[in-house]
Amino acid sequence: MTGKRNDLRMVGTTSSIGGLLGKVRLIGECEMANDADCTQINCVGELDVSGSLRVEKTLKLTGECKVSGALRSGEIRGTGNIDVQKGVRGDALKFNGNLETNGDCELEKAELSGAFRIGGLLNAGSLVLSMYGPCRAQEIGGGAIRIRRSRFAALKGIIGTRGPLLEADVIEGDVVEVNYTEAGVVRGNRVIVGPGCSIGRIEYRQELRVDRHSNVQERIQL
Amino acid sequence: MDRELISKKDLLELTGISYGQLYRWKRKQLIPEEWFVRKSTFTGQETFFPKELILARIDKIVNLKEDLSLDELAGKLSPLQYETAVAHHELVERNIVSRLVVERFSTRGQLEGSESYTFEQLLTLFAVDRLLQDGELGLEEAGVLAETLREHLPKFEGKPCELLFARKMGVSTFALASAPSDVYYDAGVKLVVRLSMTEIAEQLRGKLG
Repeated sequence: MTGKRNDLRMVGTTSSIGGLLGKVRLIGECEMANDADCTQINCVGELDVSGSLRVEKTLKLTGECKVSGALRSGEIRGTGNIDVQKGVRGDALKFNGNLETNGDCELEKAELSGAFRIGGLLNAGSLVLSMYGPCRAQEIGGGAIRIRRSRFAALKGIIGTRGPLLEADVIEGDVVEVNYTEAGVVRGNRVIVGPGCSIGRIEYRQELRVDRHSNVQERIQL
Repeated sequence: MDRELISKKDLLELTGISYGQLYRWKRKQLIPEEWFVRKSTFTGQETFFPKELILARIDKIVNLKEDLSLDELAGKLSPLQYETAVAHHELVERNIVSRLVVERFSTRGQLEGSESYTFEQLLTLFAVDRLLQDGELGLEEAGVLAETLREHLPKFEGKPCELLFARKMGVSTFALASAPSDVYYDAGVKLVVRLSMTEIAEQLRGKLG
């Protein structure tokens, strides 16, 4: 698409038809009735896109973002809730809060603290996850994967409630470090299993460490 | 058509690449989504790949990535689009498409050598030629197929698609559908051919070198 990109600044409860946009600054509630393609977005409040959203550079969010299509962005950062129907694709993600999508989530670098629900594959070059709530993905794959509980959630665990857990069918990576995870299969060159895990099968090449408070049914060195 | 599949585990072992690389290439869309075939095995879910295609692709990526960035590579590998221009004499000499098909479905300029063939045009010829050689369709139908591809293939903009060729009571019909898709016919229809255009493109590129 080529054409003129106009900057957009809106405050209050607003709506836009979307389309080709430049820098977008939103405060309040904004609905976009169509696909939108922006150079960057800075949103405080709520953004609701009926269609797909593409952001060239940065999507900065404090609040809520709902996209009924796919989300594609250079960088995604902020705090709040992201809900995308069809899948997320981006270079870097640094986000506190909840991430939901029915599709795949593909990122070069992901740093997420909070919770997520991903219907398909979570694919990241490097993934650092700090869990505050329940996390669920069908499959997780990538280079370096590190899954932990946040300190606050760990504290909650001491008090007696079960605390957040990650559930996934398959986790695969070169270096995989998991804590408080329930998974069917974990595959990796180096696999480190911390406490609170229940894993059906681990396939590893070089190294495997398992915390004694975790339950692994099968261990296979390839 | 059953293709030989290779599991992800075997693939990594065979090619010596890591999970990180494989997933990165997938992210960069160097490896098409529909090559990832999920199957349940007795050990749970496993991912498989069409063996020939993936091995050729990985070989190509490994060889090219020294000289090109991954993004540049992505442009080169996009399945149905390929920068190429082949002249008429080359097409016949190298036996990429049979003479009969070339002569029947080329424009005058192409036959005289003043115009060259784009990849998309080649793909049309190649697909028609392939089906003719397999004896699946007659010359008359080949014309309809060429017309269908010419008209509708560009609409997919390089996205993966499939060619469906069906007959009912001797009447033939062609369809192009985005892949992967499920298609169901009524009982009287005989699906003669179901062909992945991505695969055809891959084969054509192999021939073009």
